[in-house]
Amino acid sequence: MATTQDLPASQTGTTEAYQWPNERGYFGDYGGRFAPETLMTALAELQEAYAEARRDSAFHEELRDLLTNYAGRETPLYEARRLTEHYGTGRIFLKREDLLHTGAHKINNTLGQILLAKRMGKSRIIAETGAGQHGVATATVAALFGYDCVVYMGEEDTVRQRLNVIRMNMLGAEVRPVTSGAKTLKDATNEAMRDWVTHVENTHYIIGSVVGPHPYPGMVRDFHAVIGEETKTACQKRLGRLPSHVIACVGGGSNAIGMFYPFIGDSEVQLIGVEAAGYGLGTDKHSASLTKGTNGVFHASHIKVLQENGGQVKLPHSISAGLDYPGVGPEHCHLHQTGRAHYESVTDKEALEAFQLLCLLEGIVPALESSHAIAHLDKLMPTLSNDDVVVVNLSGRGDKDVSSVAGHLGFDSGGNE
Amino acid sequence: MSRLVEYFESLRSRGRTALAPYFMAGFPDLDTSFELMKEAVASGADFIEMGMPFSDPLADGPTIQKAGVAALKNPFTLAELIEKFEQERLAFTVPVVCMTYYNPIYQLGLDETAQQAAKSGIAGFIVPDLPLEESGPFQESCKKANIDLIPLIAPTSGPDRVKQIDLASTGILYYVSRLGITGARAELPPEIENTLDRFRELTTHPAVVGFGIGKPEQAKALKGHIDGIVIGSALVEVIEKANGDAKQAVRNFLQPISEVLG
Repeated sequence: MATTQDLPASQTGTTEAYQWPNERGYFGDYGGRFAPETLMTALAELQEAYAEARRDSAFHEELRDLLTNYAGRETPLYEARRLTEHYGTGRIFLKREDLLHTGAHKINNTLGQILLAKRMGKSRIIAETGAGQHGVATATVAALFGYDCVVYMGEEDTVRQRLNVIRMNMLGAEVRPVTSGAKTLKDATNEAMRDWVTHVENTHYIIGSVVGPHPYPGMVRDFHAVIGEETKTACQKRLGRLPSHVIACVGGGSNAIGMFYPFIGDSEVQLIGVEAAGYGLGTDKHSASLTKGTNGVFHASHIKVLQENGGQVKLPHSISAGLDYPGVGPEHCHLHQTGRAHYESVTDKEALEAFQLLCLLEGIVPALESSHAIAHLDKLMPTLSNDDVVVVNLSGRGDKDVSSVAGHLGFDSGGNE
Repeated sequence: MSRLVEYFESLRSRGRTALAPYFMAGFPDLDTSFELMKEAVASGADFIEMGMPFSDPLADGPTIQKAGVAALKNPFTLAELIEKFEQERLAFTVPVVCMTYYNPIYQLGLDETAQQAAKSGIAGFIVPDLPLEESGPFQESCKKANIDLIPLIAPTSGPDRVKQIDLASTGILYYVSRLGITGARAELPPEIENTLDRFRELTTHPAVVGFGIGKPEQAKALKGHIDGIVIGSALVEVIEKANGDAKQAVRNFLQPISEVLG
């Protein structure tokens, strides 16, 4: 269906010319602000506060200090030699976002947004979470800044990610299990929106991915762009060149866009996003919104979404709670449409195999989300030459997944779960 | 002038504040929901909001969410709902508008939705996730079909924004009485009468008020301060709890409210 957006973007090939989102929050045809009227003023205020903060060097300084001395940036770019050897072609590097405080990239965004909440004079923080990583990262910054914090989490996810629920509680946050719909991330997001509509005057909603109404997708991207920027600088410094491929998993798409964004103007770098194929793309049980979704309006944004013909949103599936989402951020939809990034998918089973592979070959326990990105190496590496340099964004560590993966891989988890 | 504006102005001139009940189509099932809407007309309703269920109703509270989930157990599309309405339209002597989220409309097609709705006799749409900034295209389709897109205005909408929304509207306005989602509340927001009077000073179109209203004394307090009163979750709850005779329950619930509205 045609939309009224004036634009499809011409793909230009330089970062200078890539200036999405526009003033209305569109990335080409995708994005926008399809929010309830009650939130429109708050969204405009947030957009304004963010624009001001971006021009304020004190904001950047405070954020940089927190990212460095609290969160642990810069993260290493680690050459995975045994993994490379396993495939026998190219060189594989891992961007170690899993080594950040709280165990995933999510803290980049929550630190940025808590500083904004402070600037806006809000006293209460809410968030949605799937795998619990964003919830933990939000609970962490709320503790650090002394804010009340409520995290909405699908009831099913509170079971499969129990450890993270306990962590959030220990950090002083209240975790509210969501029992509507499929009881996963999409429903937690609905519930967080409802809370925000009700308490918008004192509450800031820290959305955990590059989804939702403008200005969230662009703002969350900017907070994560440090991932790609560091990767770029490290590659130039150590290898004297840019990578040929960067790979990241895509649910809502925050870690991927953080990695991709600084490379968008470098046309020699292939950008590969990996979606969750669940039981397989031929089944109804997957979360591959870009590969199998169609244009729709979901969670206040015009995006690709898994849906029925009449517009009801389907229940997605992924073994990984963080990828178990029927939509995907608008900027990924745009990059998909223009062909600047390519999107592949990996099944639950392939992700589990990659999880095990990285444990055994590199001594690194990856998050199930990030295991999807690793798993794509199986398809990619055999097609590459020895000159190719591949960077995989290892967006999170797998401690939270140990007990659920133990069952799948046939380990005895000691009766804990 | 839009049919709805004309209609509300005639009610106003008679000293009547419109009773505007909301029904979730498909709850408890599609046929029964139509029977209940007809019963509402017989019980004094001046205006009906017919809800099309959506899988992710982020502006709705637990009561309407639950009704939507129940309705979608036997799924139907927006096109099918419009078709059903067309078959039943003669039973509706008062205007009926459709309330749904944007995605079902977007999937059917903006022009297609507006044209089919107009043909069926539906007078307009209320779309809680379609704010002014995004409403241009569907507003255009509605104009072409000569039906109204009814905008929502919230307590957080500043005076300039209220004026802007009023200016862009072709039909009536829907004032959201409180921050938050739909759902019956024991109390009206404090000073709601003053708020509505100020709202009316800023706007030129007739307006209904909704979100949290469900008792005759609440309706009575609002009468005269606004052109119509939407009863949503409280009515859905009545239907949910009705043992056997939902029609009678709807009548018993709406009639006393209708009586206080003039």
